[in-house]
Amino acid sequence: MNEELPPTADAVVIGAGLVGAATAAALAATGRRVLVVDRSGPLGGTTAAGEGNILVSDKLPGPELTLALRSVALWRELAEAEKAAGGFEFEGKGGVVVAHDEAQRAALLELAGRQRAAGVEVTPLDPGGLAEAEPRLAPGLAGGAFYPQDSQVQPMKAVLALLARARREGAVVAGGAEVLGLERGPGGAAGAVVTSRGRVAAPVVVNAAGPWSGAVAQRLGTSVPVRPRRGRILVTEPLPAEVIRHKVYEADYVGAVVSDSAALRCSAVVEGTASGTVLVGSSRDAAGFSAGPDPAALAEMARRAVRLFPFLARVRAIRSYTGFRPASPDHLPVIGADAKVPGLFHATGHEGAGIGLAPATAELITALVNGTEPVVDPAPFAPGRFTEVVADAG
Amino acid sequence: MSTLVADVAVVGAGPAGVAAALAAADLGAQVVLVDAGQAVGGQIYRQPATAAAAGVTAVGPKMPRRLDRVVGHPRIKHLPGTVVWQAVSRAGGAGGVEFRLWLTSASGRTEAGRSEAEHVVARAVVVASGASEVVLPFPGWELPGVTTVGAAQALLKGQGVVAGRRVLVAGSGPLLLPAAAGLAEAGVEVVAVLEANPVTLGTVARGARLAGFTKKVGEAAGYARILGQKRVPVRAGYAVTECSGDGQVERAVVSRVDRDWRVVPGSGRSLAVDAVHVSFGFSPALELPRLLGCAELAQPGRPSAKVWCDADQATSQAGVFAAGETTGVAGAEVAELEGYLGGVSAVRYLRKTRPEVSLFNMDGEGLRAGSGEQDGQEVRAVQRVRAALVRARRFADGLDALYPWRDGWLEWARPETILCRCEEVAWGAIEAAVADGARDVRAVKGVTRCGMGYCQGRVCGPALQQAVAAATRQGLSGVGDLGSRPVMAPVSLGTIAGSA
Amino acid sequence: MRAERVRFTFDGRPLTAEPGQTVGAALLAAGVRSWRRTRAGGRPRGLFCGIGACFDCLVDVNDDRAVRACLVPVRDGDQVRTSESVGVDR
Repeated sequence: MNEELPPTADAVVIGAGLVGAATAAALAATGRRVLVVDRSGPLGGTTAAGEGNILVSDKLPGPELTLALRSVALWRELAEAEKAAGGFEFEGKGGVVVAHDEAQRAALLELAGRQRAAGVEVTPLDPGGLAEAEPRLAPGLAGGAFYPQDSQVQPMKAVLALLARARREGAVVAGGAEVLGLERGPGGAAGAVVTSRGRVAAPVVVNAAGPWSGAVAQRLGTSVPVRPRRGRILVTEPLPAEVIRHKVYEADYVGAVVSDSAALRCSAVVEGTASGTVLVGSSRDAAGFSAGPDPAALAEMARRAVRLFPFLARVRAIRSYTGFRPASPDHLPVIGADAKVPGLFHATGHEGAGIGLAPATAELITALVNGTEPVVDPAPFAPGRFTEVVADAG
Repeated sequence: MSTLVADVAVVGAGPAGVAAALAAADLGAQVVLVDAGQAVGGQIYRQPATAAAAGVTAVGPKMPRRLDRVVGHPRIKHLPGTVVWQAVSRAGGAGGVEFRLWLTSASGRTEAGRSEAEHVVARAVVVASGASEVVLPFPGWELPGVTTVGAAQALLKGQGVVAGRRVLVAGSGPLLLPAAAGLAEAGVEVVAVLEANPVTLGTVARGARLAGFTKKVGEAAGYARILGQKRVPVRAGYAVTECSGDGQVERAVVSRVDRDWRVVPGSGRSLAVDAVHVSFGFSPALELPRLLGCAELAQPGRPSAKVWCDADQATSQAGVFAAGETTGVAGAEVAELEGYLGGVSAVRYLRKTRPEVSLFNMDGEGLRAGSGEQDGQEVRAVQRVRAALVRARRFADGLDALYPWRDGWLEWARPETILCRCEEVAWGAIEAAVADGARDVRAVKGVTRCGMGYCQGRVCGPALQQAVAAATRQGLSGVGDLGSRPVMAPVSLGTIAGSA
Repeated sequence: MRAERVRFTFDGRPLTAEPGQTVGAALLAAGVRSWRRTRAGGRPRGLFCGIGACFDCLVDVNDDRAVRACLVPVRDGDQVRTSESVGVDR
């Protein structure tokens, strides 16, 4: 990957995380000569801190759910195609959402009904059904819902697999190339990307820099209101297989996602992995890119996880890590043409759903770049919907 | 959650930690001394835990008597069998910085008599958590019976037990001789001691510069004499490059290696053994200083960085001091001297930053609070320590130069050789990950799981870094390392749930 | 007067140890070199670093799973078992 930067490209993708990799693969498959640039290497950003979630269950009916449903289908196709090459541990394990009390259960049922109308497969679970789905759950829960479409993937393997796909179609991936600026051509259109490793003339530039998209946009002469929303994960020691079978989370998770609060919000998300470890999340707060120790978040996540699965009290965490979700002010991704600079596109702002939404994002961007009919309506994601730079909310 | 409040928290009770605790406590500070071991002394001064171990003829340095009084010192609260799993610093009351350290049992089991304190709050910290042994992978290194040299010493000195009766001691560094001598004294048949670096004119010249350190030369001569008496051959330019056996090590291949540690073709000879003890030196333990935000210095020619500190052992973080192997592996004598300086500096820092807070002196000798002045005696003692440190560091640097770090061992491993013992990741997986596009340690770790197991990369870290650097054709500094993990020891989710 | 030996079992087999001895040292002294099977390959592992850093020496003791044999002192009546390299699930 320390290949020389080509002097020209049909499209430059900024960011070698999952959204960037998927976009590069999709664009390259339509015959474009793609260059992917990243200031470090693949997996230098948020993707490496992701759990690998592909979810429909946590989305309210609306544009993001529509995108997610399309993306889940694309992930399944990708997983099939990549099986021969070793795959990326795609698991269609399904998600179980848990309600602690009657009020939560009623709200969950109502949400499930609306989601079903929008095309989501969902089965309500009474306490008996919940216990059957997840025998290790605490007794006394009010019930829940099962979402068979929820899946999991090993995101890092997926990035490398997608970049390999892109390369097979002629793409070049350049690490250690930090974007410094954008040269504009006639009509103010994108002309060339200037990086720390050299200049590349390209008519199309896609900003897929995750939580750094805001900073990158500024260097490109525009703006996009994407800011980091920090999250922590606790990882346990390996456990016997099948101790936790699905992704399991509390019904108030959706509330945490759409909250505008900058203060710490935690909601239990617990799932097993192929390697036997259990991942315990989730936390959200606005603290820039600070990754230092966070006793309050770890304690709260652990408390909530043990409340759901009492046996976890004796299970040991062996590490924790931090990731920064790219968050937009209205909690919808930012996908589409920049309002000011022709030829510049953004594919960012996925806030904790980037892995799940990456294939559909890539498909959408590719359609917009090539001027073909998009599968999903792009209007709700348009970068131009932000008429001004939004003041920092937290 | 029970909390211990102290002026100074010292982490690690090897020579550096013990000296720091004594220095600070003697100056009136209330000290908490946290240590993973059951008794003070760390690895180098490991104390016997059983009657059999007490009966072993101790070969090698013993804890100096002057450090014994750390046990029972009225102003030192000693927490043995305890490790720090999380640490934060935050602005405390009245303008100072407050450090919080979360504790858990080192063994994972609650031992009778261990303090139940779960939490320490202190106004200064001395990090003296030592170093970890560097081991390099070769085919069969994961077989039971293959251990580190440190393990052989810990078993012999601490438990009076040996891992095998017919053994090889191999690797590189000054630890090999005293360890082999100790095993030989204990009746183990040491088939050979193998140092990977060959003796060259350069080695001889560098060794000659150490001739003036007569005490050290005498120590080395003592080990050589024991090995001579027991007819143990000591060979330079040799390495154990393969082990085999059915469920445990039964045979080892000894190969001649060149000055870069590459195997000389055709030189391998197979020997029957029942244990192999290997060590390639030490790397500073960096987890706690990283968590506290201390700056590090790269060590050119070595696979690990070290914590930066100034001449007073102060790190880049106000209130955090570091001493001993954490600041650069230099042996017990340097560690003790640095520990003394670190303890004194911690107290001087407290006097300066919180003069309104007394350092409580429990035996009524008179409070030292508020004056901010340094006792003449204290100043002279510090000067003596600094002078001794100059000389001790000169020896340590000279010794270090005798054992350069080479990379020919990269060729010892085969594609199926285990690199990450915890996750059973094969050597070939690293190259495959790089071929798939991973460019640094973090990415390789992400797709191979190397470094994600129980030990969190403590064992495979240096080898992984070197392997990724070689495979991506970058310098070591370009590939990063396995980083810090804000849960520094395994701790139950129940404990974490109750921790804040 | 000789101190009482500590009595314990390993996979059901009765063994004794010195007071103060760790599980790992006691097993080695009894001629047992490995007491763990790795998760993926089912390979035998015993003591490697001896000081609690490598987590190779994991063993099950009574209700505890995957504790480090080199750190845990063996107590009278302990039931030590080969570890399958996983934590507790009860």
